[in-house]
Amino acid sequence: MPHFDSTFDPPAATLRVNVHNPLRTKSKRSKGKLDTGADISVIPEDLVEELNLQPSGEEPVLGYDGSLSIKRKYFVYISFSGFSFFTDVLSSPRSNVLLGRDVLNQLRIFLSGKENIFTISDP
Amino acid sequence: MLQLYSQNEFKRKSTISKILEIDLIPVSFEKDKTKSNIIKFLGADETRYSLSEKAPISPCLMSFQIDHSPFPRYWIKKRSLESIKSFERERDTFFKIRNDLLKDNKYAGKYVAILNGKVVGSDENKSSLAKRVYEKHGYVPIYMEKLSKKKRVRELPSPERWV
Repeated sequence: MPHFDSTFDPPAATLRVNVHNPLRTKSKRSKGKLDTGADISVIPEDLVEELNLQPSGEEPVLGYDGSLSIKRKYFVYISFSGFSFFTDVLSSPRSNVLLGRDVLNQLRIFLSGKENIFTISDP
Repeated sequence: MLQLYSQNEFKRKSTISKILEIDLIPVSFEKDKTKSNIIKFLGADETRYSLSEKAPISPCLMSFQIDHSPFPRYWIKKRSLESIKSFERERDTFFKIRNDLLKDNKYAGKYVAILNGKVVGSDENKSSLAKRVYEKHGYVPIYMEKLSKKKRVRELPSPERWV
C-alpha cells in the first residue's frame, strides 16, 4: 500500500507517473501528485519541449487566489500503477505532475491522511 | 474576453511604435491584482515584453514595457514558436467560424478539430477525436475545442509552499 510522500509538508499522495507524447516516441518519468481539487491534470512545462508536444487547445484557468489566466493544452498519455489515460493536460511552471479529477474520477481512490496511506484501483 | 492584437494593430494603438517594430508573439495572458489584462510577448529577437491593458473591456493601452520576469525556457526555442504561430492560426479560424458551426447540427455540442483553416474532424469524445486526427494528419498543431455556447473555466486551486 503506497505511503504519502513526506517530502511535501503536509505529506501528500504521490505516484511515479510516465508521461508520453501521442506518438509514444518520447516519455518522461515524473512525480505525480493526486489533486482532487484540480479540474484538469497539469504537467511541468519543461515536458512540452522535452516530449515535443504540440498544442491542442486553450483553457481559461482560475487559480486559488481568483486569478484568471489562459493556458495551452496538450494531449499526452499518462501512465501510473498499471493504468494509462490518453487525455489533454495543461502545462505550468512546476516540478511535478498534478493528477486532476479528469483522471482520478476514472478510478477508485482511498486516501487515509491519518495513516498516511492510500490505495488506487479500477472499479 | 481578452483581445489579441496583430502587430499592425499595436502600431496604431500604442504610442511607443519604435519598440513594436519587431515580430511579437503573444505567449501568455494574465490578470493582475487590479484586474488589468497583462499580455506577455516574446520578440523575434527573444526579448521579452509585457503589455498592460488597464480597462478589462476597453482596448485602450496604458503601458508597454520590457518585462523582466522569467519566461519558461521552451518559449525561446524557434521550433516552438513555429508551432505556436501555426496553432494560433487554427485557433483564430475556430473563433471566426464558431457561430456558423454552432448552427450546424452536425457539430453542435461536439468537439471539433481545426487544421489548415477548416474542420477536419468532430466527435463527442475529445480523446477519440485527437487519436483520429493525429493518425490521419500527423502530429501537428491542431486546434480542438468543444462547440458550446457556454465558456467553461477550469479551476486549479492548488497552492504550494515555496521552499
